[in-house]
Amino acid sequence: MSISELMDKLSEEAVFLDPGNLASCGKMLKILDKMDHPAIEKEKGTLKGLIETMIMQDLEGGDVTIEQINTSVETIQHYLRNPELAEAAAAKEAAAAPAVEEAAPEAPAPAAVAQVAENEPEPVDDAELVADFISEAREHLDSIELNMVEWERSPEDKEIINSIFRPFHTIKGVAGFLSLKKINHLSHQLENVLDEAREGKILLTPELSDLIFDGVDVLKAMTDTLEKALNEGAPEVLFSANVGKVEQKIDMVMNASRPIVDDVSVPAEKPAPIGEILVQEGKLQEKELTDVLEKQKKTEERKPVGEMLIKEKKVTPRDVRDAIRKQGENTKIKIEKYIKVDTHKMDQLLNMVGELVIAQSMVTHNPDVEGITNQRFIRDISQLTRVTTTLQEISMSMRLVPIGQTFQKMNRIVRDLSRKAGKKINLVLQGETAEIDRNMVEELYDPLVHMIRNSCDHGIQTPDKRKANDKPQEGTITLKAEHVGGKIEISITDDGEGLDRERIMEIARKKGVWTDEEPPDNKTLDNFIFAAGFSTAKKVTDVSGRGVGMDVVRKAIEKLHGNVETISNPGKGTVFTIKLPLTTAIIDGMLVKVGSERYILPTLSVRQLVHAKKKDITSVVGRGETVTVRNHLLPVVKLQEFINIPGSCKNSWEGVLVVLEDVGQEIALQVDEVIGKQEVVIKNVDERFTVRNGVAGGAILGDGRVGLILDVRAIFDTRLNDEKSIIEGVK
Amino acid sequence: METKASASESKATLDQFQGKYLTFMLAEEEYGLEIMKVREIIGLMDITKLPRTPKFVKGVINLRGKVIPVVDLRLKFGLPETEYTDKTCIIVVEIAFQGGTHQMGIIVDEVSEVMNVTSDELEPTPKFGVALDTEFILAMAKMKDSVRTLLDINKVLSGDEIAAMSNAAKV
Repeated sequence: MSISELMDKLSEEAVFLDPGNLASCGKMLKILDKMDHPAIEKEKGTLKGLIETMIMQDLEGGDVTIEQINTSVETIQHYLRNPELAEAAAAKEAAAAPAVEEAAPEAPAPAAVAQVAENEPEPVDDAELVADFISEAREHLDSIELNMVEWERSPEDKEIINSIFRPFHTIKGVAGFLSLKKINHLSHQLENVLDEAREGKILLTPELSDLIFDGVDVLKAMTDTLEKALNEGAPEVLFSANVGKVEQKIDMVMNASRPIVDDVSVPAEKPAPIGEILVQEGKLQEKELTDVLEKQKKTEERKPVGEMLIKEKKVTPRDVRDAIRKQGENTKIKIEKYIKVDTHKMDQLLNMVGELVIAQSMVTHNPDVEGITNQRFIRDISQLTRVTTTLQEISMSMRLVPIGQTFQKMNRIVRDLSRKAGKKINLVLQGETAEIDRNMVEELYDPLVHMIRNSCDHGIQTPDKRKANDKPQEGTITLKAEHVGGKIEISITDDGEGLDRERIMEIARKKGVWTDEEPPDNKTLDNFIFAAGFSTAKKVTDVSGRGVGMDVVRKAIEKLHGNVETISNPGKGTVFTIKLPLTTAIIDGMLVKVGSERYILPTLSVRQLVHAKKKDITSVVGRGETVTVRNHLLPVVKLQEFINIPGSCKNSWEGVLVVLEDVGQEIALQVDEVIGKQEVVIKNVDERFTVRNGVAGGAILGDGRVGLILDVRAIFDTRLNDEKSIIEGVK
Repeated sequence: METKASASESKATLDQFQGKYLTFMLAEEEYGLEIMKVREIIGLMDITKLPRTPKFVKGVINLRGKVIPVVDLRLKFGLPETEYTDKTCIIVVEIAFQGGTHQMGIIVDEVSEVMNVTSDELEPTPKFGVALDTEFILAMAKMKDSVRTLLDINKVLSGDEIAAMSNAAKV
């Protein structure tokens, strides 16, 4: 094996190394013995020493050692690549040797992580590893953000600090391994800050948490830059210089005089000490353990218990090793029973299962097959149906993820906004376990952010104003998800001032959204805010109020085949409700017929079916026909006119009226016949052929023909446009 | 001199069109399609009409679970409409459009053969005397007995008319 092959093996082991994994340690030592190169002699010794200590060490500060080992492996790698550097660095090396943080916590960032010159391009070496790193880093950064918000709530909880520390540590380690020096350096610094906090040497202040959030943002930006470089296939990546600013701030925090905290250094919750494990195993008497512990306290160095026990010949080294292993096992609390699957493959699988369901129904509904009376055949075919249905359910559920992840991301947004606007806002999350299609989760993020921002900015008032209005100073926004009959309902409730109806009416008239003399009912009025270019904010803030917000929200939700509406209680607050199907892959559809064609309406938008009588229909000059349903006057749209094909019903009281709803509006759609309800797999249709012609997609029907899924919003829009053009014509 | 230069230049541009073509009949004329663009040839099947689309868009079909649009090439070229026969076929082509590839079906009277067009047989598109918009034509292929029009199917199916359709709708 060549030295470079050995090096690769060594790095591989180093990556997977974790405390207590003695097998890995052994392998690394073996590899090191085989590696023979003058340039690395010295570092080899250091690394050997580190690994040996790790084997002996009873895991205290295990993290630190792994970090040191990784640094050391990196150094060896570096020297192997540039042997001439080894000598040059020899002088520096004394300083560069990984400083033990425990020994010198006050020391600035260990010199092992070299200062990186500003804006020096960094290599993007192994595309696959880098890609893994990107997705991993994003996950970690997200979890850091979540935990940061938690930490602010309970600053005393050391376990939370740990859960922020760990992801930074992982990012740092992997970044270092991939020679991404800037990411490595910044995450290392942040890690140091947290380490200090963990030991109680630094207290959580709003400035500190802002600093960490800033750091996370910079790391995120760097990850994005890295991804861009990777996608472009660039051999190097150049991070922008804003890293320095955050790093300077961190240095300032680290060097600033800190409140002197008594050296309580409450260790974070640790796995059971080795001694206890040994006692449990019966390898050691309790008395013996307490004796050794007493002795340990007296000695200056505080040697690891394991080492002392061996010296005292109380237990064998083997026992200590086993105990360390056991301890390691206990530390891994959760063994994740998940596998990561390429989303593309998942989508393919789901598509194929969708096909299978269609094919199955095509076979079973084939007239020739339906004619078969053979008992055995009928049994077999029903078995096939059962299996395909179960398969479909399982594969659908594979795509569902809890909505909680998305909800939790809102914590940070609320935190940032409330701080910026000087408001006190408490975000309450409910129904986080409700599951939704993972493809939708991503699409849902932006509209949710928009609405949460809107609630923070326009809904919740300033503390003074709230006090004046007899409300608690702290405003509450409740984000809630719940499953309601095969669909998911997400509501955002704030206890703010409610919508400004007068202002909405004013704008509605100005923009021509409402032209009647008579003002509309409150529900309709409130929902005007979803119209394009509608904003009631008198002053444009950098948060919201550019008049694009709610319109964008509505469009995004409609893209997911859902709908959104709002209802406000002036002075008391506002509720936004989003209704969504559980998945975008399958839609619960109502099959309707016009002439010889069949169309699918999303059941989510169907309010009820009405057989109208002649007397229910009224015709208003210039306004088309309306029908009275539950004492409401609803405009009638004939589907045959909308899609421009001949149907069999001439008059509005013939056929069936399907009452559709969207953003608080209702409309009655006349069709020849309602065939029934059916779950259909949505197929994309070439966009150029469906833009605004009322088709949202296609679906393969039971007989193998394509059925078109109608875009409910487009039906509403044509009706409104027709009205407008008629009114304009009259003028 | 100049004319010679441009002649050799146009010869070079013509040469890139040599290769295999699938030929088909449309209103007694023979046309060719680059074979690389053709995915498959299928018989006529049930077509679902798309509302509010130009007449040449016949609708969408179910191609093994995929929903693809179908265009009647006769109508697209402004040729007289005829009854579909057993020989009427849908050629499924793959076209590049807006950075992605799309599958579309085109309805033709009859599929003839796959032929090899050599550079000797290629002629530049005449500026006049063709019923078709010259933009849709790659070149003409002069064979022993007939002249075939080699189509730029990408242009035919992503040209102004279809683009205008979606643009008009966007307003």
